[in-house]
Formats: sequence, structure tokens, C-alpha cells
Amino acid sequence: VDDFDPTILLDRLEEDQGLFIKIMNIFLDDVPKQMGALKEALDTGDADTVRHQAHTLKGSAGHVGATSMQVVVREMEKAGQEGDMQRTANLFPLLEQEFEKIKHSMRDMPGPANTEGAQ
Amino acid sequence: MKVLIAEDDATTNAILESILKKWGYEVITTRDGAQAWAALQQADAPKLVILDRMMPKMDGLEVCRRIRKKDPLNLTYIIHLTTLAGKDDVVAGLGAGANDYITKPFNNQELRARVAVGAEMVKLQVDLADKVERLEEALAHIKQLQGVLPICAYCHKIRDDKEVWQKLEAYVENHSDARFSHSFCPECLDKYYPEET
Repeated sequence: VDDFDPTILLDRLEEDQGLFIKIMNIFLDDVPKQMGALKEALDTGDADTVRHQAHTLKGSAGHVGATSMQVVVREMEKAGQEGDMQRTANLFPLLEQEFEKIKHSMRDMPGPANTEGAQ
Repeated sequence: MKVLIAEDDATTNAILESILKKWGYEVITTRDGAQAWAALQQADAPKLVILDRMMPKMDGLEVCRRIRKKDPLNLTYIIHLTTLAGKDDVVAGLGAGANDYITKPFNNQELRARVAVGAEMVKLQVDLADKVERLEEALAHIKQLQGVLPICAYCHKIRDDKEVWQKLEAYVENHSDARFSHSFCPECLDKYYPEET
């Protein structure tokens, strides 16, 4: 699975590079907040919030083409639904790694797609 | 046409707002069910709603039920947009009153087509409701002249509901949109103006 396929979001935005940058900046700004809420819920054993945050992250990742991150959060959501909080917690470092990869992909992207949020 | 988006994920919310604006819609964004419900209470609120299912404060199903309870004429067109793709989820969404159901991640062409169908339905429903209202108003006028009217056998005055005897012309003019234009029938013309015939 590719880490990040920018053509998915570009296609969604009808090839509008300006909107692509705007949306990726929102994604790069918002995902750490969601991951923070997820980590806190894992630490406190708040299963409902874990499921909800994993579900929301799955949507974010899917819409911007963060395919590998989407796979990880889908697994986390599934584990959360099955009540396996330990497995959800074990997957969290992998989620962090996948997010870092997306940040690097954005930073390495040439031209206008290189967003400020990825610096 | 105005569209309300209720979506708690900032990225998805921004994508939806951007592309709907590109397609010519006026967009109002909300980040949870309670915000969406509050926005729908405003005067001239959007009648086309794109509703996430899992949201904080009030979930999409509850927002949907409230809309339907408040809007029995179904003037609001609701599209559920959610990652919950199971048959039971779809049935629950439609059962709560949604008109359509799209799963995430959405396909642009599909979303565009379905939103366009929703916009057309809203336009038709609003037009229809307007026509029904005008018909009901017209019907109310017609009903004023229904029923048994007491009329004097000699002078033809009519007794109204306040027990006042009114001239036939005045009564009819007061209870309908009809107006009188006085003339002579051939028999009266013969009787009163024989020199004219």
C-alpha cells in the first residue's frame, strides 16, 4: 500500500492545486489533535472515544489519499469495536509513523503542493 | 441553493465545503449535530443537508429524526454521508428519515449527481408547497359561500352570521372575489323600459 497518493485528493478537488494545499494544511494541523485525543482516550480506557476518534481519522485519511494510515486506523477502529483496547494501543505507534511519512511526503513534494504545514 | 454540512472531521468538512462551493452551492458548515440542529432553526435555513452519522453532542440519526418531526411536509432533503456502510446502517439512516445515503470516502461524481438530485427535489417540494398553500387560500375563499344562506323571499337580502341583513350584492362581494356589474336582463328591460325595446 502506498503511504500517500496525492492524486486521490487532487482528483477529489478537480485538480485545484490551491485547494489541495489548503486541505492538506488542515489535515496536517487537525490530525495531531485527533491523535492526541485518541492517545488520551487510550490512556484513560475511554473505549467510546477511542472508537470515535479512530473512525474520524479513518475518514480524514481516506479523503486525502493517506492510504497506509487509513489501513492502520481501520484496524484500530475494528479492535476498538471488538473491545480490544490493548491491540488499539499497540497500533498507535504505527499510526504515528504513518502520519510522519505523510508529512515527509508533503515536504518532499515539488512545487505548490509543498505545504507550509509540512515544514 | 444553500447546503448545510454537518461533519465533525475538519478535513472532510473542508473538502466538502470547497467542492460544493466550486459546484455553485452556498455552503454553511457545522462541526457537530447540536450545531447543525441550531443552524436549521434559523430563518431561511438550508433545505438541503449533508449529514455525517457519528458526531459529537448529537449524532446524525437524532438530527435526522428531529428534522422530520419538525418538518412533516418533508421539505428538507437529507443525505447521510458516512463511513458506516453496512446494510443495517443504511436501513437505520433511511428509517430515521434520510432521503439518500452515501458512503465515505465518497466519489466526487456520485456526490455531485446525488446533491444535484437533492437540490432538484428541494426546488420541486418548495414549489409544490407554495402551490398547495395558494390552493388552500383559494379554497378558504370558496368555502365562505358554501352552506345554507338565509335569504329574504321578497327583497333578497341575505342574513349573515352576525344576524345582519345585507343586500345580496354586498354579501357576495364581502365573501368572494366577485364584483357586480349592473345591467338589465331582457325581461326587466321589457317591463321597466318598454320604450327601449
